[in-house]
Amino acid sequence: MIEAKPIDDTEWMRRFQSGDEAAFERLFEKYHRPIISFCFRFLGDKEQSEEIAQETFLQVYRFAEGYRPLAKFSTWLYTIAKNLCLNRLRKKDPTLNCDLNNEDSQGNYLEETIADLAPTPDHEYSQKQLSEIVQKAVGNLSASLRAPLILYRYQELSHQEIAEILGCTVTAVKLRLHRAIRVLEKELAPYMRE
Amino acid sequence: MNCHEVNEIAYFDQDLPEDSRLKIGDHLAACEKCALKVARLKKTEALLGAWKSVEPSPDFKKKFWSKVKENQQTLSWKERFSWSGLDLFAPASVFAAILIVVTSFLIRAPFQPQEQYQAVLSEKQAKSAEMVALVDLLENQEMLMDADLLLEMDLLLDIHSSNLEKS
Repeated sequence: MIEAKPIDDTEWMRRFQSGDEAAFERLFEKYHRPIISFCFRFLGDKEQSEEIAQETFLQVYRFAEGYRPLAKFSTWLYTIAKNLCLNRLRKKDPTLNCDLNNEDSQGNYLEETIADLAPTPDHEYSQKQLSEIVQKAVGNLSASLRAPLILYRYQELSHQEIAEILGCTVTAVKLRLHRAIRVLEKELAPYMRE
Repeated sequence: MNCHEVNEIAYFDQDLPEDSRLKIGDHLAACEKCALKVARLKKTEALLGAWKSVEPSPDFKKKFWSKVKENQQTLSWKERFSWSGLDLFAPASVFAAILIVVTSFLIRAPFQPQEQYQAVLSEKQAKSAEMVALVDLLENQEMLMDADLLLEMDLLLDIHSSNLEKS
């Protein structure tokens, strides 16, 4: 018996372009959580991340005809989400440098650092506290280091996909990931159990 | 392989060739310093996993689909006023129509003096015809040779007109 070939995202998009609304629903169901997650980790705010995720899918809905399967659907989707996140950050603070290809770009929690949660010798952190500590440490990374880290570590995308989303080379992605890990290693060292 | 050749971060790289991974592994087994670095990285990596993502709000999907519905209504409204469903053409065609009207008005405006000129010219031509008729009437061919007198013909015409009115 011949097994039916699973339908990939590009095929769902093609069907949606032909007017099949159910195909769009499939894509929304598959990706709404990862996109919310990406936006939340990038912006650090749940309400805003849901707004951006909604806007991302609305743009897919409106401009579906403009999609060409030259890149993976997920790459296109993350690119839209990333651009909307950057617009939101710029709108919030026009002076904030959040250029993803600029090493001088800034973090999200500049006035609130994880030093506020400095460890005491016998302190055991709850899971929730550790989550908050990591959120602040990652949020304090410059936007140019934060974006590739989130896409690689949490969204589990390949270096190639990240390079396409951020509009840089694979080598640049790897270098930024190395730098991000180095910074986080220092930042999080006091919270690591021996 | 020595310590300088070991890039402990690259050890976690998904693209690292298997033979390189094995070589680094061999070095780590023999070098306490590098093994410590890798252990620290593993801890950092584990700690990053502590950051939990958020669950979508219970009404997230509902909100989204109502926005889609709104969007569909906006689209169908646009389609009603578009040509061949190409809604982008609707505002463009309205704009083009306005542009044509405004442009034709602006182009037409400078011709108005021209039309006035034509009217004046026709009037003058009629007067000239009358003048020629007057000259014929006067039956004085010598007068036609005198340019100065020609210039005064307007006056003669006026006199003739007034004479006609009187008669």
